[in-house]
Amino acid sequence: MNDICQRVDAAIKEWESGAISDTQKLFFVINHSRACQRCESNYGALLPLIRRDAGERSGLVPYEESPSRDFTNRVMRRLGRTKAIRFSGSFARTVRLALPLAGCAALLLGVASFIIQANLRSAESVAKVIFTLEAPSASRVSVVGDFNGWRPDALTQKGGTNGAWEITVPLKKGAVYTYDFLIDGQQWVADPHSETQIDDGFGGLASVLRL
Amino acid sequence: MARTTLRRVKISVSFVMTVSILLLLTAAQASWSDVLETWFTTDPHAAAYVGAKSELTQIFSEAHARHVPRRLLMGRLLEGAAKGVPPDRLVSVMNGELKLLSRARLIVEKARCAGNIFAPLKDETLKDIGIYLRSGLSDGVITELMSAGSGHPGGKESALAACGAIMDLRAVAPLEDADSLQIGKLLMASGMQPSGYASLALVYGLGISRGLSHDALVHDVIINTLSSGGGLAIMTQKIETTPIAEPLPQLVIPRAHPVSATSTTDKKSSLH
Repeated sequence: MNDICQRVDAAIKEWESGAISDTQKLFFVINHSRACQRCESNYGALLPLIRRDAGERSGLVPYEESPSRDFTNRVMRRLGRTKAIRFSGSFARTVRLALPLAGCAALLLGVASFIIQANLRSAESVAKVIFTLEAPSASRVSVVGDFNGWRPDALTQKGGTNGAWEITVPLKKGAVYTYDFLIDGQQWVADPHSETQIDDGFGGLASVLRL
Repeated sequence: MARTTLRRVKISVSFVMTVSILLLLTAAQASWSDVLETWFTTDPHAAAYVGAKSELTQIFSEAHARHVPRRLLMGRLLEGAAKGVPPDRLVSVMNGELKLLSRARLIVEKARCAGNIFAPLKDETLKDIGIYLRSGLSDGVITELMSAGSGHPGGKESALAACGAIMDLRAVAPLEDADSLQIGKLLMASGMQPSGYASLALVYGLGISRGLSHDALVHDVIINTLSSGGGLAIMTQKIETTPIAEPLPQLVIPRAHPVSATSTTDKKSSLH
């Protein structure tokens, strides 16, 4: 207990006996009781005194009647106490540098894990489809469809064996695709062995593949 | 020194994250807003269609207004351009495609009333329904099957698979809408895996090759078997135990669309 706290204790006893008359002194006692951790418990004892003298002295209002201000003060005092936890020295610098780096590493790990899992899932849902066509007179055959954006040169084979052309395409399962063969970059041909062929609207047919 | 490094690291991380988020937002916003414009400037096939640019732009704007994914329209545009069709034909087909995808959208909305199995709605679902419509399946049959799939887990997959099986079956069999619908619903209620529905067309082909009539196959074999809780194995057994009326000289499966005469494939596209 320091000197001020002792003086405040004495002043409270003086106030209780009704001998105190200096309003400034009363405010000092009240403010100190609110701010000092040691004297904080005395504030409860002050409330009856404040109420008793509130009618006689202007500005003397117990803090329990203004909870918002009291609440703010309490919160600020608690926040003030947390500031006591601080790192210092080289350890502090290491911790300050390591924390954001660890955060970034965790973030990258999460992203990598997500990508790997997505790839594994997609690998399970992909089927290898072998498109075959026998066209002995062709020098180049392509499989062109909505799975490759109808780009004629995306899936092309040159020089089929004995006129048999075979092009393998990985496709996602559970979807419906439309496609055609393109022979020598000029002749569009529907796959004669597709289960369904539909009118392509352009004067030809489109093969339908369901996986 | 360490404090400076720490500050630099923090600034770098913040900068990279901010730039990444901005790029993602920009990419998402711009991805389809000017897709047609981009196609005209980057695809060599597009040069032939510059004269039809205003009509195509109009179609894409209308698609946006009707909540039809422009990515699907773009697919048809690329197909037409790759096949080198005249501009007026392309515009006509694109108009038709917009109407068709709008019908697909309407089917989804109707099915949603029966139970929301399309949440979230994927572009691929609309594309699949669009293909089924193009193959000749009626809006009513698709809507009924989609509605039948609502309300239970995996309903969307089984409904789409049933539509696909009916599409395949109609490619080899002159199937009425009522029979299509009945078979589709029975397939969905059969407990079979949706991936197995596709074999129905093969069963029909087997029956035809054994000399069974269309009516016998559809009603006695397929519908009766599915109604009594049987599957493809029982259908095959029924077909194989039926005495052959007359040996067929050659298996001829009627197709809904003629096979291109230019192709002489003797292999079938197969799954590995």
